[in-house]
Amino acid sequence: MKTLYNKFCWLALGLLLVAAPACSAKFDKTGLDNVTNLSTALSDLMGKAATSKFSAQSDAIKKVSADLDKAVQHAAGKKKNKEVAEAWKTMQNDLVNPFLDRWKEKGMLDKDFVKESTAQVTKSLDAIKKAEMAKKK
Amino acid sequence: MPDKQKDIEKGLDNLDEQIVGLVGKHIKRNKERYEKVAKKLHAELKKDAKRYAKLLADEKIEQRDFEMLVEGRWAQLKIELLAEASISKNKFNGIAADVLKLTVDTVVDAV
Repeated sequence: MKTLYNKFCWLALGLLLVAAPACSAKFDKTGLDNVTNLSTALSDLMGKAATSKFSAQSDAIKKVSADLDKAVQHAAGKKKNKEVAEAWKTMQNDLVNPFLDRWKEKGMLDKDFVKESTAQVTKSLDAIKKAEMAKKK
Repeated sequence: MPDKQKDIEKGLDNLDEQIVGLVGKHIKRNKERYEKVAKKLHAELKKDAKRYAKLLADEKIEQRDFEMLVEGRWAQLKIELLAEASISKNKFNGIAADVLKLTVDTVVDAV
C-alpha cells in the first residue's frame, strides 16, 4: 500500500513539474519594449498638461494614444497573458483616457492634479514592467 | 479648511470595519484571506486619498479632479494586483468597486 502511495506521489510531482512551465507566459520582448517606450512618452506628454493647451499637443496625443492602443492589442493577443492584458486595458480605459478627456475638456490642468495622475500611470507601468520581466525567458 | 481636512480623514479612518463587512458580502470561501487583502488595499488607497483630500481642501484641485484621482488610484491598485496575480480578478472587482464608492462618498460628504 505504501509503495502504491509513493508511486502516486512521484506521479503527481512529475505531472506538476511537466505542467508548471506550460502555465506561465513566455518572455515577451515587444511587451517589455512597449512598457519602456510608453513610460517615457506618457510621462512627458502628461507633464505638458499643466503648461500647454490640449489643442497645442494634439499630434503628440494622437501618437501616444495610438502607441498605447497597439500595446493593449499586443498584450491581448498573447497567450496565457490574461492578467497583463487586463492591466494594460485598465491603464488605457481608467487612467490615460480619462486624463486626456479632462485635459481636452479644461484646456489646461492644475499642476498638482497632473503630478498625482502622472505618478499613478508611472507606478502602474512599473507594475506591468515587473510582471513582464518575471516571465520565463 | 483644516477642519474640513480633519473631517475627511476621520471619515476615512472610520471605514475600516465597513470594508471588512463588504468583503463578507462577496466572499464565502477563504474569507479571512480576502479580508486581509481588502484591508491592505484600503490602507494604501486611504493614504493617497488623504493626500488628494488635502489638495481639495486647500483648493489646489477641483472636486471632479479629486474624484478622478481616487478612481485613478483604484485603477493603479488593480493594475498592481493584476501584475502580482495575487488575487482572482472577478472577486477583486466586486470588493474594490464597493470600497471605492464608500471612500469617495465619505470624502464627498465631508467636503
